[in-house]
Amino acid sequence: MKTVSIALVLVAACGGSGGLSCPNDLPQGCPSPAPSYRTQVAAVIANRCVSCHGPGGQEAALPFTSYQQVFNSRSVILNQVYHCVMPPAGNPAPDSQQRALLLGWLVCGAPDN
Amino acid sequence: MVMRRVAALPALVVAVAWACSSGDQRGPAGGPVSGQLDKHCTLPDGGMQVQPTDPAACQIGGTGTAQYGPTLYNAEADDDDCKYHVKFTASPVYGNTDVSFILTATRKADGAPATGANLDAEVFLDSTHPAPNSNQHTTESPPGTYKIGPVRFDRAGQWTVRFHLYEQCLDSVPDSPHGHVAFFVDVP
Repeated sequence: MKTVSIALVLVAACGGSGGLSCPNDLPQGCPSPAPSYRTQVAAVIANRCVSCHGPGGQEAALPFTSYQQVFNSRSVILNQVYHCVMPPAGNPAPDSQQRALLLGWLVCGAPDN
Repeated sequence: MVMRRVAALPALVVAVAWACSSGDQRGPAGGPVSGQLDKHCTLPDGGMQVQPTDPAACQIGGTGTAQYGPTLYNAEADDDDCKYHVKFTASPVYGNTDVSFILTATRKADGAPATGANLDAEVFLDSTHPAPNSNQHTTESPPGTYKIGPVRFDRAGQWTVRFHLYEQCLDSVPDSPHGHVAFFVDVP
């Protein structure tokens, strides 16, 4: 336990890549099989993004309620989710499984699958 | 045999020391990509399009995702909405090396430094490959001049670095301080 604590302190002190709060977990390639937009990713986006990026939300001008809307913003979504800029502080972040699904799908090129 | 090895040791040490001290072994550094000058804020009559900003128009609440302009060449341009003029320099750009950028931003409306801009850099090779998380942070000194880094480019190629100013302000009204501009950066 003591060893683990010391290691964590050292990683924090050295500014470990990506920090402790935002993981450096970008898939190195498209996972196989690629996450499915329709059966997996759409639900993550609906659950974590659409309250703002949807009707009545503060980012309603940039809605993510259809595949095409999400696809058009895929690069920005990848950047901002991967760097933990989105969802903004104070909003629930995707859990590790949701994050892996979303990042994996985006690294695959955001297919309509 | 042992004597010969011992005698060779100083030569080996000297060779290693020479190799490590004889300049940068990585070749020329990358950096901003030279190309067509940015004129997107130049009007057909030669005048300049200028979008004034108003701090009172900063509605806090999101990161203000916006419609972006094209990625630009060189190291100086107006931002996508003609609110700011920005110039930047970069420390030597190599792959898998910490790179920092120094960016100066002035308001086009009055030429004053764009202070307190909460500068951020969005860095990506293409739509499927952002730069690794690298604990990027920004300092401002003097007012309107920002140092941001570290940025790590983990592949060679022509990357895009998009600088965001006042990203905490929603981009919902024309005079929002929110601004953004992207440049190509070559990574050898």
